[in-house]
Amino acid sequence: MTSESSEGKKVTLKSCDDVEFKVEIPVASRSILLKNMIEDVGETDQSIPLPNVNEKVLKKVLEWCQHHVNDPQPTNDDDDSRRRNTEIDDWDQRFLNVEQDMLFEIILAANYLDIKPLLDIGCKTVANMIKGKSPEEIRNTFNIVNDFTPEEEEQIRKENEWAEDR
Amino acid sequence: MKTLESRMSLTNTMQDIPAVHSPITIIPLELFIEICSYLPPVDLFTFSQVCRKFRGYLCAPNSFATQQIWKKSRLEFMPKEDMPPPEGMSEEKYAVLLMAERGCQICKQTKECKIYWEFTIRCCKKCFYKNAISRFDLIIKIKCPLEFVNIMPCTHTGYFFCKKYYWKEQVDLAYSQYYGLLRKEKKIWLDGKKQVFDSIINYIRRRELRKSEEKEKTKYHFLSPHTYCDTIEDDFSFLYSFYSRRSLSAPPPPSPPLSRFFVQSATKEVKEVEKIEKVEKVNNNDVPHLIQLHIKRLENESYQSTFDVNSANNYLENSNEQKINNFIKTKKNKNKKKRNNKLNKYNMKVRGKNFKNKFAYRYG
Repeated sequence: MTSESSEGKKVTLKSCDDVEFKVEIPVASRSILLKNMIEDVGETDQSIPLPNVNEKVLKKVLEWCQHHVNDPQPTNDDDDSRRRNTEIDDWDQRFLNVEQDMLFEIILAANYLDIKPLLDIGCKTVANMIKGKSPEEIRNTFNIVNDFTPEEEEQIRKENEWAEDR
Repeated sequence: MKTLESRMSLTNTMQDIPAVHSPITIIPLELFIEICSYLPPVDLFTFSQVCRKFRGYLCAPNSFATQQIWKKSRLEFMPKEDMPPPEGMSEEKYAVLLMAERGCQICKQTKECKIYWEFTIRCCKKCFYKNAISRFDLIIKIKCPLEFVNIMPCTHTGYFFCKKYYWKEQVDLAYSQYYGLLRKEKKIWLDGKKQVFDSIINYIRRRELRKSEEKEKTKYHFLSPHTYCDTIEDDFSFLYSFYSRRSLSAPPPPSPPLSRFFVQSATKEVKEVEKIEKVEKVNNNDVPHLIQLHIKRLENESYQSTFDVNSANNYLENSNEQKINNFIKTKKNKNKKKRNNKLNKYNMKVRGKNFKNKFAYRYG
């Protein structure tokens, strides 16, 4: 059963906090995990439980899937081309302009649900938050505790003195 | 978040959630790798200095995952540098060396610099001559055994009259190892070192070959020293072996650390670089300074002519102090250096065995 033949039909997804979402199959099929599941199980009235995603995140992820429902499915061999394209389009940028907790939860959910394009833009967004910053700036951005001992820090500073001026 | 984590066994190790909430530190390794794949080496380098966990992820020469992160980053963001690193060099070290736009790794000031693969360092000319020692000095002046010198990584300078240079720190460290070995062990050690050196040279040759292939279109290019220089240098090797054989029969090979020699034999080139700088400065403004320099030089010359055995003995007593001074005063004038050299050689003879035993004890 392909996604085209099942157009119009819906599937029910259940988040870990027991909230149900009725989703059109092409939208749900943005997730390779769900796509395979739907293909395997066939038509069913039973809801698909997603024990790793809560309502808030699932809602957000489905919003993305809805918007990108007509995108071509990524194939395995264009791994390089998607990497080279570092641009994130405006809609996605606005979509990912969320709190950091949410951003990482979206990334984790995209990884779990196997939604490659969403995972990519999520990771790109995080990478962009790291680029061009000093270690201290990165710590501030991500609320990371500097857990080096003073000796270790001195060692690192010595090793990398030459890299400090940019 | 917690439920998400429980999915992967990988994340189990990351469940000790820190007191301060920071989602990036608790993502699974595979996502960490994914994020890193969008970072150029420069940012990976900074990222590795953020906290212990990231340092562990990004500075691990023996971890396949870590090496893959750096390799991907290098291939993606330095597409020209698609040659794998020399054998035994980690990807992170390789990537850091390749960041030529960062300038000299030693003085951290000069932007114009060269990567010396033999010494795994990127530095400017001045720092190079400060930290390198010529083959001639190593064999004739310091009297290092030829079998040892021959297996040390060296670089060539110049095109037609090229000289081999060795990295002082590297030579010193290796010599300490070499010196403590028995004759049998020495052979195995030498063979091992030679292999390492050969693989680096191999890498450099391949690198140069590629460069010259790229330059093919421009027609004019010289073969760089490594590709043909060995033959020239080898013509003189009989001289070296003659010297070293002669010296082997007289005094024993020097005991480590060799660093004590390096201060005195501070290369001519450093002086020349400094001289050029001085002249430039002088040319810029003050003539009185030039006269002063000249007077100083004259004074030194006259001082040397009155140099006699008595003063040598005085120096002998203070020689230890002088050695310390040598480390501090790097800008010694030529005459003093000569004197110190003589004295130290004399010193070594006098102390003879005691000296040797002391170092043998220290370096096992």
